Amino acid sequence: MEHAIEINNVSHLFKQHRALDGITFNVAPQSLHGFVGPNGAGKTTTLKLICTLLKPQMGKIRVFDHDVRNNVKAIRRRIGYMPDHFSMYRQMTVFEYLDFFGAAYGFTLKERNRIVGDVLALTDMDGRKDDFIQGLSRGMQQRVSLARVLVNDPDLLLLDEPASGLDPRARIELMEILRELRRMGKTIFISSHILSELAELCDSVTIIDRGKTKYSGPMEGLLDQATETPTYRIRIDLPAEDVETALSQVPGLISVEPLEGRSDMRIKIDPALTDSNQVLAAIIAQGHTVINFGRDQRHLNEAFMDLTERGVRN
Amino acid sequence: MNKFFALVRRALQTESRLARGHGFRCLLGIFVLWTLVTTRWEVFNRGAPGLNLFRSMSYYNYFFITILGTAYFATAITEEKEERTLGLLKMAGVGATSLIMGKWTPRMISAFLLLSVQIPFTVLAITLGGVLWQQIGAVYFALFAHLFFVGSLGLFCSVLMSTTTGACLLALGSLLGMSILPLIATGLFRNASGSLLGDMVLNLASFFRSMHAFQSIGFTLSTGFNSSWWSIQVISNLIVGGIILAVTWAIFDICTRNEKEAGGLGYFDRLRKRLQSKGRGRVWSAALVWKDYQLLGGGGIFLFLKFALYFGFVLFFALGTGISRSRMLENLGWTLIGWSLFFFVFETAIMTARLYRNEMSNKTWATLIMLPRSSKEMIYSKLIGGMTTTLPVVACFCIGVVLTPDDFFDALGSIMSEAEAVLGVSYFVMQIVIAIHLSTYFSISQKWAIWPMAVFLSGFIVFIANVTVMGCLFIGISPGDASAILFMGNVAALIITIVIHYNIGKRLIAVAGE
Repeated sequence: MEHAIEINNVSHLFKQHRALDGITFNVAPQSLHGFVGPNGAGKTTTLKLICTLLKPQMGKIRVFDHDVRNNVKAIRRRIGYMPDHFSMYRQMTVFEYLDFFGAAYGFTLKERNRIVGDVLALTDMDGRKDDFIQGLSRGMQQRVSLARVLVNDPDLLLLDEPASGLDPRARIELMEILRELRRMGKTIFISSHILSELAELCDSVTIIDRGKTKYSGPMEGLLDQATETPTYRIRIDLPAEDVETALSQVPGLISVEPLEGRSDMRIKIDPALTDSNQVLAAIIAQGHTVINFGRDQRHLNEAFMDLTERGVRN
Repeated sequence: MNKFFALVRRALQTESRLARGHGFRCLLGIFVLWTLVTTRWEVFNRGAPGLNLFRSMSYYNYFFITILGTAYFATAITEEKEERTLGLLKMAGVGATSLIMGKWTPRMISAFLLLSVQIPFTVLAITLGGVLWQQIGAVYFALFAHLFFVGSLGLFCSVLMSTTTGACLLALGSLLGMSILPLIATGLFRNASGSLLGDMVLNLASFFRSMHAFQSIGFTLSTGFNSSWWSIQVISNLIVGGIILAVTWAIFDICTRNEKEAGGLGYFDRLRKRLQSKGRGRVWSAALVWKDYQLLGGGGIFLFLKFALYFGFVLFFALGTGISRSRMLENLGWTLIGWSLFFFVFETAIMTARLYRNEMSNKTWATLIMLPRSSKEMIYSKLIGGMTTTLPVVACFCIGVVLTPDDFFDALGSIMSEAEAVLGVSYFVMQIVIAIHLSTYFSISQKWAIWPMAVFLSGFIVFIANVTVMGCLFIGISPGDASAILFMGNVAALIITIVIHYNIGKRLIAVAGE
């Protein structure tokens, strides 16, 4: 299967600083792929390499089967890149700005009318098309940026921290637009450090730290990536110490740990000696009411912290 | 007081760590020494070589202070405004006095050092003959007073304006006005002498002329100078500079209340917005050309206004210089040709220094270069768009040619018929091309190189390089060798242009990925 993006053992140096150190991952077409890493991990460098603004010094990058070294024009026709900063001609109106990029991509006047109308409708900016970009709020400017990226109807969107600096409402609206774009069959590669948003939005994720790939794969794989001992989360009408007493008869119980600020508890067991049924049965047998019980999925934040911490230790 | 010293110390520490400042002072010292050596070689051919040397050095310094000094001081506060750090400094309790003096003093010290480094060398001019140490002292005194005045004016403009470019323009415009207006006023009121208004204007014009360091230097270096170092120019420059500093302090808080975002609306955009006539028309299929025609050139209305301004200026100048009625059209034509060539060079230099830098400061270059076109196509399309800013002067030039076609083509023909003249003209043109390339390169590679700095520094470098190189080459050659030297000069200039041109392209591609 042709990947939207193939990155194979790519390294990049800025003078003495190694920004990327042999990163490798793939992005499937028509997926929404999250790209996560702490500040300085190499996210923006990777994005610039994919979108042909930088030439890779080592390794291979292919976008829709085109090598970024040799097929710059072909790649640029199929991608839309939104940098991590506002890069707009603020002296133009919204319409002029989009019309300008339409003309720059070589569309005729008739095509431009249709395209600009479409992207304005998609980003819900048609009511503001005659406003100067200068006077728009940050959220609105970000929508105009996104509209600009869509002008050439790209197959792949490369978005560098698109939600950075937006208020919660603008952020939610932006994510809605991204979902809509995925439904339209676009491949979206989004870099962010707002991890909770990516957890809901993305099909797959790559985590990098200090220029190295720490994880790349489906989002479920990261969230389910269990530690060696299975962990369950339970909400029950008892304090934690009483739960521990209640479960003292269960063989293989490792720990009962209350979650700070919540009425939930995390139970760890040895899978060789017991399973979730025995735990649940033991509690119910003692007459307690179980409000909620389930496998403890790791939150993306925890996975991220774990992976990047490990990176630090290494 | 501690905050003032903290700012000064930080600035001086930063300055002392940068190799740039030391290198520049060193280069200046070498240049002075080199000029001294070349003058020594000419000692038997020219009278008073020491005076000639010192006069050239003094005028170089004067122009250096006036042009680059203004821009240097005009960045003092605007750089904080543009970086949006002024508010933070004010929140940290740094008051107007500390900020003004803390930003102004290190600059003044640097400029003072730059002047001082030459003194030991220029004093050697005495041994070459024709100049006395009293004259050298008086000239440096005049230059230091001029520096103080220019520094204060630059700082004032820096506080008043929201951008460095605006501050530079205001400061340079004020100095230019101070030089030109007294001459115009004297010309206009020459016949009104005796009336109250006439005398008042003439006296004021005379005072402004006497404030001028250029005139003061000329007077000091004239034969038989025996006046005090405390000339009217020195005293007036110090007093007016002091008053400007006081006014700057008084208006500081009012002028620095609001921070302005970079890449904001220009005057014509605001006017358009106010009139609600927002249409610039649809974007041309040559989109990049359209963009710079609109954003850099200001569009059709602005270009028309600029044309009217240029034409009006040339007309005013032509009539002011008293052209004869019999050859009115020819004279007007030549005036138009002359001024439009000057403005063409000046406008092209400004345009190229702004063209790519604007994209970088607005962070739009990476977005633009992502279009599916070759980098060369992008860069040259922008250049064509930028060149539309020169349409008014091109129109003036064409009108000039139309007004005096025979004379113009005769003159062109006579130049073309002589190889030496062709080489001379092409050498001159090549120097302009190098200066324009250099200013473009500075503008895209150096943070400090806003267009007034980039353009004037490049012009200065090319001028000094020519003075040095041509001075050396012409020593000891016979007049017949001039063509050979000009030819070699043209070849060298072409190579230099190609190297800078290539590096501009390389830098523009690299900067998109930064």
